[in-house]
Amino acid sequence: MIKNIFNGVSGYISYRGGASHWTFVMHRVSGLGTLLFLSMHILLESTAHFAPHYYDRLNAGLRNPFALVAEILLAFFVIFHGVNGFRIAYIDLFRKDLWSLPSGPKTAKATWIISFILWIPALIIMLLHSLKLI
Amino acid sequence: MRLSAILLVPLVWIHAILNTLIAGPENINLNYVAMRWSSIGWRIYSTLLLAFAFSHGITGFRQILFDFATNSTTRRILNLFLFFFWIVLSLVGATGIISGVGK
Repeated sequence: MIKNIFNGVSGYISYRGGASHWTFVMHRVSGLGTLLFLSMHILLESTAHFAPHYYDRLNAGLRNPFALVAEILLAFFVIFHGVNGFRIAYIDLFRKDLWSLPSGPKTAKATWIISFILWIPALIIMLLHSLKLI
Repeated sequence: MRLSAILLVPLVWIHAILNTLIAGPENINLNYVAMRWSSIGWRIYSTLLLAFAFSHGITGFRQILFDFATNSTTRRILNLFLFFFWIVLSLVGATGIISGVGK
């Protein structure tokens, strides 16, 4: 399994599949990152029931620059995973012809552009919140 | 996967927009959670979100792991591990949401 992981990850990096390949890699990275966050999020929020006296302290502990960067990255992960997932579901269900060249990489590039467009306002609002400007 | 995916786009995005962008993380405290969980609608919403998001995540993680773990014994161990991880965290989360803020 270790050998498979090594081969797989080096293949993810060296494979020259262009935009389509990088959306595939990013879909996996963003999914794993979000799952890691979600597991911690479930445990943290459940303290509101199981250990209510710690809830506010734990939350306050998460208001630091490192967590802010992680949250902003998470926002991109969630937006990207949603947009790309929508692209995959839509093309696979209704427009299978779009998988082939040249439209495949085009829709992959569009995924990145749409994700950035949706992410930038979220980024600004999150920064403003952290600076207590809104 | 696809059913949960289609439901998760609105569920997760509304959840994130409401709590992170509108309320703001620095305003989230025990009172805020108590206020949100005082409404049965938001409790149902949160339970649905938990169920769909976490199952979707575990299924996706399993798919990635099975790309690398091809041995059937390894796969069985991973399945067992993932199942317990899924059931324990789902129950912990659902207990919190359904029984509300503790004393």
